[in-house]
Amino acid sequence: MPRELTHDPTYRNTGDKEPIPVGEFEQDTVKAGSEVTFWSKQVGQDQVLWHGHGREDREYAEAFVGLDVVASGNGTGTAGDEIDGKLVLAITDSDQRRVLASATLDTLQQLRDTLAESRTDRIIEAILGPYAKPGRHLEVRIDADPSSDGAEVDPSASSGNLYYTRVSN
Amino acid sequence: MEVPIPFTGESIDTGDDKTSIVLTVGGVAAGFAVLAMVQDLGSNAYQSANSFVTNYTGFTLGGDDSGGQGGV
Repeated sequence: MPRELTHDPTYRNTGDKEPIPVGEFEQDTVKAGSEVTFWSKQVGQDQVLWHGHGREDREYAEAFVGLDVVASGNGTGTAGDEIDGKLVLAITDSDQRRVLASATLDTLQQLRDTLAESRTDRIIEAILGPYAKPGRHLEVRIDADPSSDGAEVDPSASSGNLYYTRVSN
Repeated sequence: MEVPIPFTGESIDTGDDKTSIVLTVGGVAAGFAVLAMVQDLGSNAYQSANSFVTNYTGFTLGGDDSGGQGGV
């Protein structure tokens, strides 16, 4: 049974804040009711990594996030169509087969809408525990709504970013 | 006696009561002392958390003794 990723205030002041630009997402096709991985990073042998960064109280938060994920037109739909669904953060094992911990950050609709707000009013992606040990993978996944089933993500036409935290030895 | 407050255009009438002046200066000094103490405590907590993680990445694969959620 995978663990739940939740805010871990123990590490709210820890590590380096690293961006995950949506431009680094894979150009892949979403499937309704199935989590498809669009970004992953293996944890180095001298590191530990967390999803998110910093505190969750807005006054002191550091990781304000938003994403506008759109279709390329190669799959269903046409170029520029908004892709809807849930954005899932996960930690998987070294083979990326078994999910060790995960959580839904928010819907893609909410993450898109928050980009219209000022930076400090956007959704906060505070640091989430447990951390990923060396050899594990941080993953960002999309669980698409039926209305977006079969659409291919166009990373270059999408915008926004998420964050992760890195501590290196 | 009128004492101007810098940058605000305001001033404080301290009058002839030297006791109140001493109390005000003493209060400000005590406030800075408490601030310094709290900053020190925060710094210690930060160092403690980082120390734990550094121990981990140094392959001291310990348990969850940090008070946090540990790792997977």
